[in-house]
Amino acid sequence: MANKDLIESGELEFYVAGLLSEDRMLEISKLVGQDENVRKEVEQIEAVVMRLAKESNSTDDEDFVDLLKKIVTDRVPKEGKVIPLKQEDTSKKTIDFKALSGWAAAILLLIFVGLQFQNNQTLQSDLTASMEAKAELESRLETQNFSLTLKENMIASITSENTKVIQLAGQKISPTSNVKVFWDTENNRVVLDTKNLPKAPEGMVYQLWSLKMTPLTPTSLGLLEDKESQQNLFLLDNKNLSEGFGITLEPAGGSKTPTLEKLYVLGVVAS
Amino acid sequence: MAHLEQLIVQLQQKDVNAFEKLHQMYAENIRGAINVIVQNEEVAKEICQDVFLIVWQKAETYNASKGRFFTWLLNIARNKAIDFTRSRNYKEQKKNQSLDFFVNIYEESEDQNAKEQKYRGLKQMLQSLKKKCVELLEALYFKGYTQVDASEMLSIPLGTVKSRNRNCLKELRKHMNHGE
Repeated sequence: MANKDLIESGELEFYVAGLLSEDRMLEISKLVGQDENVRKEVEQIEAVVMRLAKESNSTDDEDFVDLLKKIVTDRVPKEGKVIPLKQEDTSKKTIDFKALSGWAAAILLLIFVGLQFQNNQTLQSDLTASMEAKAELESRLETQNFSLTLKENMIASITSENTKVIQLAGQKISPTSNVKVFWDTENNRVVLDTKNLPKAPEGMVYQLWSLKMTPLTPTSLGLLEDKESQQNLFLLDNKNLSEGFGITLEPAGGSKTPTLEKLYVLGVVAS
Repeated sequence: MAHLEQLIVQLQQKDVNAFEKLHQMYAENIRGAINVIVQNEEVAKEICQDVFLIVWQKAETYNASKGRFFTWLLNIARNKAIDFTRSRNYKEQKKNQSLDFFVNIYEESEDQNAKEQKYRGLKQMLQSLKKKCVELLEALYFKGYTQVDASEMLSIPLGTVKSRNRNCLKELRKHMNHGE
């Protein structure tokens, strides 16, 4: 069929309505890409239908932030579970070995608690809390003055299909602290919401650790310092197969190994 | 159009800014298309968000070689809206009302003011058409009728549906071109 005949045939109107067979839709899509006249005709037909649709509204209050919140909250129940955390026993004095043992004990305890928790009916309420936290974080991201790229990366990480939410609970040194980690396993990065972490004293800095259980290996993911602003949100790379995360307070510049007595928050990734 | 194609590719790569732009470009139309079916703007707004939720989650399933992006959106919106109309609540609310949104607006007299004022632009567009066009456009583009369904419902020969639809849209195009 010559393209002029095609335009006159009424098939392009059906194409815009999606009423043709799959094969015919494919053929016409190809023609739209090849023939300027066909493309223009299709665009004009579409413009009329779009206008009809638009006029079927009496308001124009589209809210993209609401939509993003819906995306975030809709997806959370499909994700990893949020594990409640118990305080670690830090009564033993510190040498490096004991420090590592402390981490191990805390983590084993967390795993045990986590396994029990999976069967616990309170799971749902924690998930709801996590959903709210995620929505709130998203909302704060919208309003805070981040650079566009940083904001874009953060939003992409928070809303990614592959993001796990891990709640890090306050430890003995600071039981009221808590931090949420949004681990985007696709892009290998984490977003941290540290608003419930006390301000680091002068000369000290918080350091985020990725934890592997066997063998127990803490790996530094970086320092939580933001000299330019008062933001509580951080974006850090994480290429590790993390099984848990912890945050310690370290001397400025950070440490090679975590200081257990200064472990502020800790949480494990649900399996 | 290259711009649109680029935005769609970016959306498929989970680019939030591209998603926001596409939302700006289409949300109002899609919400209107939903309203044609559910006839409740609050509900239409909710369903429209669900539609864009699907768009975000399933963007990679859109294939430009199978049709227009708008057609894809319209199809998702129609399905969602029709699902909603199958709920008991909806049937209860609308049991004594006509479900023909366009025809209702088209036939409203000048003194049936509230709705007319609300959809004045739509009424002006529809009034440039004959009633059979109004019915046909509503059926094919907004209610998801097939050619056969439309032919049966409107009692017109199957072969006439395509040509009549084209003529109706041509009329609207003329009206839009004169009006702007």
